[in-house]
Amino acid sequence: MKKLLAILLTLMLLLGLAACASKTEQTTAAETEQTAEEDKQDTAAESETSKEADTSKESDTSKEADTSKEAETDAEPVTLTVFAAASMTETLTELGEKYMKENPNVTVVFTFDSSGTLKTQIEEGAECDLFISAAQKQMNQLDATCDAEKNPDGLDFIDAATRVDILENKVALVVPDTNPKNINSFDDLKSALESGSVLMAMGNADVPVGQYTQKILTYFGLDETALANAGLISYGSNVKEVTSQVSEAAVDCGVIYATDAFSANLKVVDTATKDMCGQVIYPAAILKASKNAEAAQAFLDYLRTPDSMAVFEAVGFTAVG
Amino acid sequence: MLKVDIEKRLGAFQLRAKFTAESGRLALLGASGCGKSVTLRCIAGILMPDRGTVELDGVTLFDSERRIHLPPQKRQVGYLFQQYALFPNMTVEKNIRCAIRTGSAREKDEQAAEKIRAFRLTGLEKKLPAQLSGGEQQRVALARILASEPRAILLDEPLSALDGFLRWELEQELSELLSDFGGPVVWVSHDLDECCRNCARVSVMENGKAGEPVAMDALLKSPATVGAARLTGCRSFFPAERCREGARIPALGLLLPDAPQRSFTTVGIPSDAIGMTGGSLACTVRSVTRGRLSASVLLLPDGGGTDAMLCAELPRDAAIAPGDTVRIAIRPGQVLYL
Amino acid sequence: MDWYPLLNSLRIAAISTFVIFFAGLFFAYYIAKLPRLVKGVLDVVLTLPLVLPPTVVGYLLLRLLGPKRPVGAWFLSVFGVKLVMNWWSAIFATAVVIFPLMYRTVRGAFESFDETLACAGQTLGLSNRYIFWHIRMPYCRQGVLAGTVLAFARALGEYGATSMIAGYTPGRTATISTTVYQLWRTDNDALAFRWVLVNIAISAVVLLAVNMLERKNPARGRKGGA
Repeated sequence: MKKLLAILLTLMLLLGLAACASKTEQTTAAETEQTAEEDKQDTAAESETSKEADTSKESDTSKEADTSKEAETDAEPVTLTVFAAASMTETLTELGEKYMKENPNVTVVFTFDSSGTLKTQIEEGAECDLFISAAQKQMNQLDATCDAEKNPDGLDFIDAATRVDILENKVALVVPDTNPKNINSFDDLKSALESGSVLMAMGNADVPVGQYTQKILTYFGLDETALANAGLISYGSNVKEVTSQVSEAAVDCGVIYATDAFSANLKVVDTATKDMCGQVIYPAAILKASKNAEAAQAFLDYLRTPDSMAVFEAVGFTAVG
Repeated sequence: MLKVDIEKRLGAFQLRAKFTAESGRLALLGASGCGKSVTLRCIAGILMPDRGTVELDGVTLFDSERRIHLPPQKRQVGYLFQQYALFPNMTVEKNIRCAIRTGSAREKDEQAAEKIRAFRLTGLEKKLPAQLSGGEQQRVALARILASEPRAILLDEPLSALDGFLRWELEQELSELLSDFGGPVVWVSHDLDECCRNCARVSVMENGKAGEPVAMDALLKSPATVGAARLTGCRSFFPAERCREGARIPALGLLLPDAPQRSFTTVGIPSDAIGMTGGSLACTVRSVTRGRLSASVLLLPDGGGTDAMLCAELPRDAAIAPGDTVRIAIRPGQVLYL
Repeated sequence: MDWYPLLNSLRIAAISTFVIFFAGLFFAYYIAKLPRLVKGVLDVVLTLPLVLPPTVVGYLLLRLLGPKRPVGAWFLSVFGVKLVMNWWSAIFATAVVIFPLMYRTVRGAFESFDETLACAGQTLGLSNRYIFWHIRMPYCRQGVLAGTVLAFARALGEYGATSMIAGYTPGRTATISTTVYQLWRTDNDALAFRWVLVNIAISAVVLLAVNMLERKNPARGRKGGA
């Protein structure tokens, strides 16, 4: 009886721990099976990349890929470390697994976290081959070709020649399913904030989505500080807090990414236009210190194929362009 | 009058206590661990028996049939713990005063002061228990118990943890302080001498069973069971059978005349039943252990097995040594038939 | 400097500790009397908030008290008040998180209590309540005090659960901890550090006060017997 109880208690504890496991870090194991190619997938075989290609920051649709069905000619096992914004967790994991199936010698290892944290980790010397940020800000801070305003510390970590914008996310206005304050657009939100009748949750200024929200408030001529002092804004320390508070109707609305809304199953009533806050562009770049630049480029190209884009679009991203 | 008739399962054995205690002191005598403290706790209400009844001066304290179980607070049964259980955070006078149940604040103060006088605690009122000597602590504990006006008092091995002069001193005090108490006192101990000195009646507890009380003299002269006989100091026991002439003890090859009419299975031969000279039973002295006041002599009867050992108490300086041969006589009048 | 977080943190910590003081005593006292198996299971359940990450605790509380859930909805309909996103919502979170500290410390203190003192008190006619407050509590004073101080200190430092259930609205629901976090995240290290110093100052004052209390009434002798 004592043993049974001990087992039960251990299970309870493990369940509790599992429930809180963060999604920011996931590792994918290498697949060793050789699977037949899928029909829909014309994935590129490893292509030689020169570092002169793709220097522009505009979206580059060079998706020509050899549709050869040969397995990799380079049989050496490669481990790619990809640092990516947390909003890409599910999609990149899925694409990573697909990629690894077709390229068995490649193991893709992801680290998901907020772009600010990832930038700091890279700065502190973390080993990384490919960095995908949720905003230009963090990428700029690592790009030596950017001016002092954007890159105040003068850091030089990424290979600017490989830098490319790959995704666009939309800033979305979400409400609880009961929509207690009847907010159906950003205009409604503006009126409600002006009349002081709503409680809104947003990210703080350190989080990209928080910065975009600030731009939206400015666009509508609202004073963020005044609103905060009036008790109309609550700052979440992470997206999960905001989505939880909106889901539970603890707040009347929240501003998050379209992808976050999709993950949290929240009702999106409006998305921000380019005028309101600019575009949320996700840039990607290969690290200068990467030892697997070619493999990294191959994976990056894979991510930009139409089939990969379909995966991204399914969760709320849009292709850049 | 305290009437107890309870049963409680205690691990391996079954506690069964049935006795009546009138005013005066009743000793509850038994070896360590036989359930004496548990009995007291059941009477006080701290433990609940499995079955039975406890009645004090006509008030039912516990009745398993009628589902009555008075909380200890209502039973008016005083309990003296072995370590006295004085409240360490309260002064002497607070310890005593908190036990007084009735009266206004002033009346309680007066009663407490009176108790302090009566128990010779004057001057110690503001002291904490840790600052008192053993004797003072006992007086405070008793004063506290009597301040709560109990109808019966239970003493749980009050002197067992003590020895030497302090023990003698405290025993005198305890006896004297209790002399004025009119209700029944149950004195639990494993020491026969202590019980002998302080109590007129005794109930022997063996294997969880406490029998009806008998007068102390009766126990000493004619204990009813082997266990009781052991408690009175007899150490030699032999199986015996009744025959026309008296009692036959096969192990010793003895025939004792004048055996009682009732049935018996065992014969106990205490020290004062052994006459060291002029007898017919030849024995060899096995060992002589000289204590402070007497010498314990182990005798091995010739012809008996190695189990047949007799034990005699002789004066300390008795001229006897291991290996000696003696011819002993058994005085039939002192033999115990059990 | 906006001093609201200080006021808010102090009142939340004080109220939570006050509530948990009695809750901890209550549970410690009654659970100690239960059979061993039940006691063990309850111990695990009541210590759970200590093991779970505070954010998870906050999330569970949100699911319990949010306006969509039975409890929260009832409060909303009867009192017209939301249980979450107010400054006092943090009290729920803080109380839950600090409870295990008080409970376990007091449980330990009660287990070391000499029960014959309680038995003696009962035979003398003292009520169980009197015995609890005048004999057991003074005896276990150090453990109870230690538990209270631990609980208060933890309450001051509580962040994760508070952030989830009360949010961070400057001037309304901000506590010292959530303020420090927000300031640090928005690169306002200097101000964040000043708040950290405030936190340390409060803790120092509390601990010093407790120490002085102890010195005035040193623990008296435990054993009353020979």
